[in-house]
Amino acid sequence: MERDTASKVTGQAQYTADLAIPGMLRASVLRSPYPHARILSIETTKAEAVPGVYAVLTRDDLQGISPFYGLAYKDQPILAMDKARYVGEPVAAVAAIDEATALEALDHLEVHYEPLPAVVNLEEALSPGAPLVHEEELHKAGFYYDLKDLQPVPNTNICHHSMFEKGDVTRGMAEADRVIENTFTLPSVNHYPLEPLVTTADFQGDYLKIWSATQAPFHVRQELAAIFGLPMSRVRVMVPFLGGGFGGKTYTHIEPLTAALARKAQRPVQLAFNAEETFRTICRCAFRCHARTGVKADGTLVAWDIEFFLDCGAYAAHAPRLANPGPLWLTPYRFPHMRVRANAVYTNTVPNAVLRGAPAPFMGWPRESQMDIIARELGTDPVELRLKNALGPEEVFAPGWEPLHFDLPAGLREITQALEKPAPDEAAGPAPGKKRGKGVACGVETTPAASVSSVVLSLAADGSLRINASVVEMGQGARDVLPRIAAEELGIPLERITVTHPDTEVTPYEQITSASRTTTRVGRAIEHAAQRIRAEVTTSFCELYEVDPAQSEVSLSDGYVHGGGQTVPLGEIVTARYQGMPGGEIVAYAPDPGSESGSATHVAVAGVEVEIDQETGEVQVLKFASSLSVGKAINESAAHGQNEGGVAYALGHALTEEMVYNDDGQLINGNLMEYRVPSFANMPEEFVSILVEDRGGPGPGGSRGIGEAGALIVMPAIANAVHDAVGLRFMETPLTPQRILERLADRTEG
Amino acid sequence: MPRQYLALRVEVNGQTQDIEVESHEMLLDVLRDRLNLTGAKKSCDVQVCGACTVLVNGKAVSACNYLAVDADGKNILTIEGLASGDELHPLQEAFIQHGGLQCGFCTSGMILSAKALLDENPNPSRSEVKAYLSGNICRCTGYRTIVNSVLAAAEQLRP
Repeated sequence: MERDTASKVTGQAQYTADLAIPGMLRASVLRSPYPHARILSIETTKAEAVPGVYAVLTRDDLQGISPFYGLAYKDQPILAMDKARYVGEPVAAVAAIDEATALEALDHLEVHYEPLPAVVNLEEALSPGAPLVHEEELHKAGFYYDLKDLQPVPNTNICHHSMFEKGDVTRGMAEADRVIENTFTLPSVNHYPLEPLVTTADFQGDYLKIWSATQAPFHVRQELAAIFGLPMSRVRVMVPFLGGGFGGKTYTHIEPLTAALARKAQRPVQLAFNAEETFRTICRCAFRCHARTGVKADGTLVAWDIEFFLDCGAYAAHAPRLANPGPLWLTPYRFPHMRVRANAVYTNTVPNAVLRGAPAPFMGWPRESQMDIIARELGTDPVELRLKNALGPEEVFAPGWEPLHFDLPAGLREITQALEKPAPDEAAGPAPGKKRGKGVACGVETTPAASVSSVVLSLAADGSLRINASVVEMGQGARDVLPRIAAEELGIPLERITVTHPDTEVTPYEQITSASRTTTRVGRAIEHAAQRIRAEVTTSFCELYEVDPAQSEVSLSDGYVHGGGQTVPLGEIVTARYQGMPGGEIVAYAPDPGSESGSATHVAVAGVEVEIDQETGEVQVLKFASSLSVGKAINESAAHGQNEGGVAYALGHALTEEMVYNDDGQLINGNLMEYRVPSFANMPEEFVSILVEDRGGPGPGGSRGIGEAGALIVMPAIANAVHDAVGLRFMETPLTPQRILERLADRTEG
Repeated sequence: MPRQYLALRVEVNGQTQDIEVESHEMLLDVLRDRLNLTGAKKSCDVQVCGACTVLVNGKAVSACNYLAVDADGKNILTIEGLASGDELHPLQEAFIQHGGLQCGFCTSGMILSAKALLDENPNPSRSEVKAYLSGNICRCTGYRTIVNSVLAAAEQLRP
């Protein structure tokens, strides 16, 4: 809303690091230089003696609390305990009068390590007899219904695995005329939200106050309560504006460490990372997938059989959820036979966090690449192959699953048309030495069915409305969309509606702001609560003004109640309850408790035209067309912004981004000088944003979510276009100029 | 050893400020912590992302690695100094109207870099805007709406 954008363009908007709490100390963290090492001793006396140091925290300070957290397993300690499991793992921390003092104190800490053999990638972690990242028994966190049944493989680094089958893949492959088999990989990438991780904690007695750049204040609350043995009601988590999240700020990160420092220092403590430290704390899993597709000669898909491995890093974090069957069923195509074997694997590298799109970009990489590979094999057009096998809108593709409720073939045709249309100033053809190509891909993702949202709507005596919700605003525009939903129901002008920022002491329970769930889940909760207010207002209005609701229609618009020939300001209905004085509120609470009917399936169709410079290997995106199943765009320009932003975000994963570790498990490019995120130079020359408003979603007005959809399927669309241009098939990302040149050179020589 | 402070006089957003800093302090931290001007943000901390951009004597600098002592006697403009009272600068208006921001974290730096551009070149082309602003990273928008915003503001600003 303009109020928010106005505060952001003037520098008034506050983000977590901007909040100065009186008496606040600054913290710094000592990190393990080894990927795997026993911690023999930590000597803190000299550090404690540095003037201006208030607290030095080590594992010894974590006695008497439960210092482990994690959403699947509680396997991640606040500070490394018996051993460090990745380069960068926090081993000690200091709270001091300013950051320079805290950093100086770190230099005075003496830690003795005994290096251990490490496993720094999937191959090492999975090899027989590999050193174990976690030797201890894994304790389930027991907090999410879909993470109740975790299946580690004993004596290996596999912390969770699952398999599901539909039909019989062996039979399916036997029936197929061709079986195409390939291995696809993805490296780790970093979320790099522009705002790094930051938390401020103030811990007095049994009351813990937290300000944190988190997407999940209620999850953080329950973890902190469990760690420190506090009632949840005595843990307060507040979240102002977030400078981007992209999944990297979901679940728990540095809140327990900051709280532990604040507890020891008995002063508020701020732990504010820069980007480099964020690189050492979160990343998206690396991935390896062996994929087999069985297809008939006429292009009919028969069977899909994959086995994949996700590199969790040193702690399980979100990866087990990505290795769970549920969402893996989801594909845009008809496969009579499917088998998916999923594994989440520990390595001695940076731990994972979910990244925008969750399983969809992982599943889409092998699947959409295979589709084009198959099309070439069969001599058929990649779009035709997809059209032939696309699921119909009401087609049931798996037991217990809703159909897509989306016209995918129409989406494909629209994208193809968009790619056909030349740009206004497009040259007739590529310049000499440059080659052009086009590629498409289809992506699907679903919001989790059972997730909980709730809101409180409070109508004030002047007819203005407060939406009490714990939705985190990270640029997706929830604070604009949610008031529009309330305004639609209650006829209150937008400028008279305000939305809270999350504060677990005051705003009602919200499971998390992620998974594109806010418009549908919180939107529905707002609708329910608004309907309650509407009902109360209508009843009171009819009583006060002697209007018979059976005879006259009562309506709300522009801040007024209309009915029986009368028009009354909304606020007067409130004041009537307050002895006619301008006070009191009408309040309604509504949960959306999460049900299958509230789950939305998001479909994205991407089409891209690239131009490759064969001298430099650079890939220029000439045109990117992205069609999203938004259902209804409640704020149209913001929705286009999410589409374009999502595509731009994932273009980095396709073309430039990769976290690079050396053989010793050292992350060698964990900073912005060496890690390339998309800049102005990487923009597509033309972006076509298509929002399919088929009203087929479960949210208000038939809406679905949109936060992730643009980012779902960019990597294979790019890879398919590159193949179309220069005949090179990449099974890994990023498609850097160097890799393209090397492959072009190999081909010339070979 | 006791701390040593150096006295600086800087003009910040049109106001003279006398402040004492240590030799190692960076301008970004002094602006944020001493002067409560938190519009400039710390992100990459290595002068790459532009979130900390402020104008020093009219030139865009990355304040995260700009020594505060080097600002002595100079004129600093932060995002907080761009509007005239209640009246937003055309760049600020344009970013609002043209969707040039989402999370807003890059916005202070982006707008100031754009101001430096338009002060130098009041009629830039799209490519000139893209090239000039390439030292500012945005993770949210995909950059197109930023370019549109800057061009719209340029049009407003030209007589």
